[in-house]
Amino acid sequence: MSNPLTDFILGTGGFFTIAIVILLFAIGSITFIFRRTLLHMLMAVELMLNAVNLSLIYFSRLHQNLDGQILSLMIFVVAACEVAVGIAIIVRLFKRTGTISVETYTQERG
Amino acid sequence: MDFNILMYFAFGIVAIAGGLVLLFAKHPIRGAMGLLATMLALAGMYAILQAHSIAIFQVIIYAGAIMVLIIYFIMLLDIKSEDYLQPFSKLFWIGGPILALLAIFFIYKLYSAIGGNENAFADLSTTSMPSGSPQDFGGIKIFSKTFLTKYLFAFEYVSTLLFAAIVAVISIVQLDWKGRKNE
Repeated sequence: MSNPLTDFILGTGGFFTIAIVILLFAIGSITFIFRRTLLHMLMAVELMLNAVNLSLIYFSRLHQNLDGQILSLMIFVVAACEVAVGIAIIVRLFKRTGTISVETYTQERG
Repeated sequence: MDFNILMYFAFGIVAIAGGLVLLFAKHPIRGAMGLLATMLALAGMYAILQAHSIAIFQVIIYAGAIMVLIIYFIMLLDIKSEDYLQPFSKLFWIGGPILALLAIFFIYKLYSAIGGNENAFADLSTTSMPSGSPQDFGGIKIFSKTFLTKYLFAFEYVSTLLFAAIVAVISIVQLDWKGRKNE
């Protein structure tokens, strides 16, 4: 009844998966905070959403429950909306200022 | 070692490497390629975790639609190279190691919480038969059945969100109802 893949997923694979999730989320947040380009910030948000998706799908497999997979499909749709709106904003900012470096967007300072 | 377990480790390492490429590559097209590698590796991990429909959606929606949109948009912008001469914020060499140490601390706490217990995650599982998984778990049949009956309200709600995003994009680029630019 028990095959090696199932034993791995329920055992040491859990630690490996959650370590991957933590590392991907940390890389995404470091990219979002310290890369001063709007494109990199947009892609870093995608990376963090992907990390959360991996943890949802792992725990969905662990509990044999489909709720996590459905929630991750919702996250796909939210990510698509976010990319569409974000790209529209970046195009408009680029048309106005001619650059995508956030250090030059100083007119919003109070 | 089982082939699936080997591929699971390989996909995880490729995912981390793609994230590091996104962090350190100078040009955004290289970062986008790293992100694409991460997404495809995560699709492989989903398939090994028996989420077959989510793996297909990951390849179609993320790698097929969203990444193509981002790459097309990088091509469209024609950005000058001065934007990449200062790729990191000045505080990166202080804050980056602090955040990396925080992530390593989280992993260490996770490891010490497990404490060498091989079945720590199996003990977490609430299902009565954790090892005997049904073969159709995560397949498209049971997935769509659950999605369109139990979660029908969420489905409609998400379609409303998509419609709102379309309205928001048209409003941001400021077209009037005949499609002319409205500055």
